[in-house]
Order: sequence, then C-alpha cells, then structure tokens
Amino acid sequence: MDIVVKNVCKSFGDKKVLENFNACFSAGSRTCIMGPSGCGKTTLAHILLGIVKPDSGSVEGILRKMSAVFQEDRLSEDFSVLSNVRMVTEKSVSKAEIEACFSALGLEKSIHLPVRELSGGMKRRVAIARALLTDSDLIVMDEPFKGLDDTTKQQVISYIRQKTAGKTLLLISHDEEDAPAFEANILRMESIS
Amino acid sequence: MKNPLPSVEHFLRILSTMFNRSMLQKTAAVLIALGVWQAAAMLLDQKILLVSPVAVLIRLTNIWIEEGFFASVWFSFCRIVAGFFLALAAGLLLGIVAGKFRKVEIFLWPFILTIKSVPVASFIVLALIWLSSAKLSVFISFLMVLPIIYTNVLNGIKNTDVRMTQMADVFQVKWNRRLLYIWLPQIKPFLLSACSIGLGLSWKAGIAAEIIGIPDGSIGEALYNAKVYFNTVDLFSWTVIIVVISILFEKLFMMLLKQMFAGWERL
Repeated sequence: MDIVVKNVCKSFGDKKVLENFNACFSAGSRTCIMGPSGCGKTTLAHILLGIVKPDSGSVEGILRKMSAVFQEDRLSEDFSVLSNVRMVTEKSVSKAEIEACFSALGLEKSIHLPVRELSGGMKRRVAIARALLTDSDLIVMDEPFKGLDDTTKQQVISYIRQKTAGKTLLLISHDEEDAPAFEANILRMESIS
Repeated sequence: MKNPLPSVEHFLRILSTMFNRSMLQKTAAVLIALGVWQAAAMLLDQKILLVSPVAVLIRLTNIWIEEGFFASVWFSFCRIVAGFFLALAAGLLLGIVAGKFRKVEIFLWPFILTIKSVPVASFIVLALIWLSSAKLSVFISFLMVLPIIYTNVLNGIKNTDVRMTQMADVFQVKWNRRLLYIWLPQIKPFLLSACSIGLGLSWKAGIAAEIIGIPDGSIGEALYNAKVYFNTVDLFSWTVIIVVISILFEKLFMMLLKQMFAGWERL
C-alpha cells in the first residue's frame, strides 16, 4: 500500500518545520530524502514512524510493521549486541540468521560485546542490523552511514539492498551518491524560511 | 652509614601499599573516635552513663555464648529482612506502575506522603493495636522502606530516555522486554541507592519497633532489658551487634544485586 502524505504541517514552538507538505511513497519503492539541515527530513521520518504527530494534515497508508535506524543509535549501551537485536526481533528469527546478518555487516566478532565497548561506526551497524532483522514493511533510515568508511559503507549498502527487496525504504541522506547506489527515487526538501 | 632500622616513613609507605590512602584515613578517624570515647568514659568514670569501648569489646567476646543469643539475632533478622524484601517488591511494582500511569501516581501520592511524614513511633503504637508484637518489626520495616524504594523507582522510570521509549514503540517491543532492556537499566542507579539507604533504615525502624513492642526473644527485648536494668555495657554491645549485622547484610545484598544486574546485562 502506498504511503500518502497530505498537506502536513508541523511546528516546534515558533519554528515552522513542515508547511503543507505533500509526498507519495509507493509500496516497495526506495526513496532517498535529501535537503539541507533543518529542512524537516527527520521530522517527516518521525511523523511516518508515528513518533511525532503533525499539527495538521494526514498520513494515509501507514504500515503496521515498521523498523528504523534513527539519527542517534538508540541502543541499550549496557547490553550486548545480540541482546539489543533480540530485544526487538521475533523469537522466530534464528541465531543463524542473526549471525549471518552480523557477518555481512562485519560485526561477527562483536556479537557478545556490550554496546558501550563498540566504536561509533560499529554501533551504527548494530542499529542497521536491528532494523534489517525486524519483520517490517516500512524501513526508515536516518543518516545510517554516519561514521562508516567508504569500503564498509559499500558493503553495508549492498547488504541493505539485498535485505530490503520488496519493502518500502526511506533513506535520509546528505550524500548525493546514495540515491544512485540504492537505485532510489529522490525527494528533495527545502527549508522554510 | 645506612640506618639498619626502618624509618617511620618507610613503615608508612609499606602500610600505604597495603591499604589505599582513603582507607588509612578512615581507619585513623575510627581509632581517634574510639580514643575520644575511651577518654570520655575514663574521665566520667560512671559505667551507667558511659561504658568504655574496652568494656564493650570484652562483653562482645562472651555475649554470643549466652543462651538465646543466636535465637534473638535470628528472630530480629528474619523479620526486619522480610519487611525490607516486602517493601522492595511492593516499591518496585508500585513505582513502575505509577511511573507509567500518572493516575496511579496521583492516587498513591497521599499514602506515600503520609508514610513519609508521620513519625515512626506513631506508626509503631498504631500497629501494636492491629498486630501482634512479633509481627511488628516486619510491618514497620516495610512501612519505612516502601516510600524510599517507591520514590526512587518512580524517579528512575520518569527519567527513562524518551528516545529509547520511542524506539520501543516503533519496533513494537513487548512490555516484558521493555522492562528488562529499557526500564530496569534506567532504574538501576536509583534502585541501588534506594536499597542502600533502605537497608540501614529497615534495621533502625525494625529495632525501634521491637523496643516498643518487646516481642519475646528479640534483639529489641534484649535492648529493653539492658535499659531497664541500667546495663549500659549490654546496651552498647547489642548496638554494636546490630550495626555489624546491618552493615554485613547491606554489603552482601548490594553485592548480589550488582551481580544480578551484571548478569542481566551479559544476557
């Protein structure tokens, strides 16, 4: 089912972030949302995820099963990498599946380490693994490649493409090369001055 | 020529390698306090008013062989600890529920405020009308510890990182996993602090209840008898015993609690 954003407005105090914003995300499509900092990309993502309510307007076709890579990692620092994934995944997701995912993302040696002992780039990949291992129809990724070197980034992009086939993927990025790498549509947002 | 005898400085250096500086300072402070106590007892020279630490130490060497000593310790220990554990369970449960549902917090507010404000002696006298003296220390320990655990758990839940809650909402994380992975780690420092304070308070309140209720074969009864017969040395000795048991139990419990949290995090 397509996700249709109709005339959405959102302000934080006096600051208008979205004003009569409209967009349509086709089911199973990949969209790269781009734009300058503060233009409302993350706010839009949060509205689609149901974290933030719009002041007016509507979002139709919101999917029940969602997963996300947030702008911050949002991991339980004291728990292991495996526990962080187990927290959100169904019991039906086998350990072999989890290990295969970690291996593809270059995290196979970190599976039992507490998250607080990981580097920024590794934490980012744990957040990606968590989103990919969750049974979802919509995946929102907000700057998922922050802190990753080019080689690792290419490896991660290839795996994300493989795992998100047939799912609706929204990718927020500042990198112009990300959209072609994902063969994604581009949605450019402008700041409201 | 080299001095064959070790200097005081050398001796102190060896000592400081055995204990850290802070521990040495604390030991010195305790020794000074004992010295002041001994000097005051000697100056006063009134055993009824103030016994010396030496007299207490001598009494401690033989008090434990007296008939009924271990039974008294066990009697009070079981009841005070039971009161603490009941308060821990109730405080955790109520704190979590109140943290999640504002209406529950508002409903509980007058009860918790009353327990916090009313003097413990009033509760003890009131409870004596409702309960047998043997059960009194369980109830009073429970009542004094409950608001501490409840308030701390409530603060812990209120301080839960909203971003983690949002993450759990998006991923539709079940409540039991939220409890284990999000809420408990957030309330951990609050709970550890509450338990440390609550354990000390449970002993103070529990023994106070026993002194007023005088249940047979309790530490409270032993303290009461010491007071009635002006046996100040017994009064001090029992006080030392209470302090030692209280500290030992607190250390053991806090160690187990920290290990339990560490085990959880290794899951």
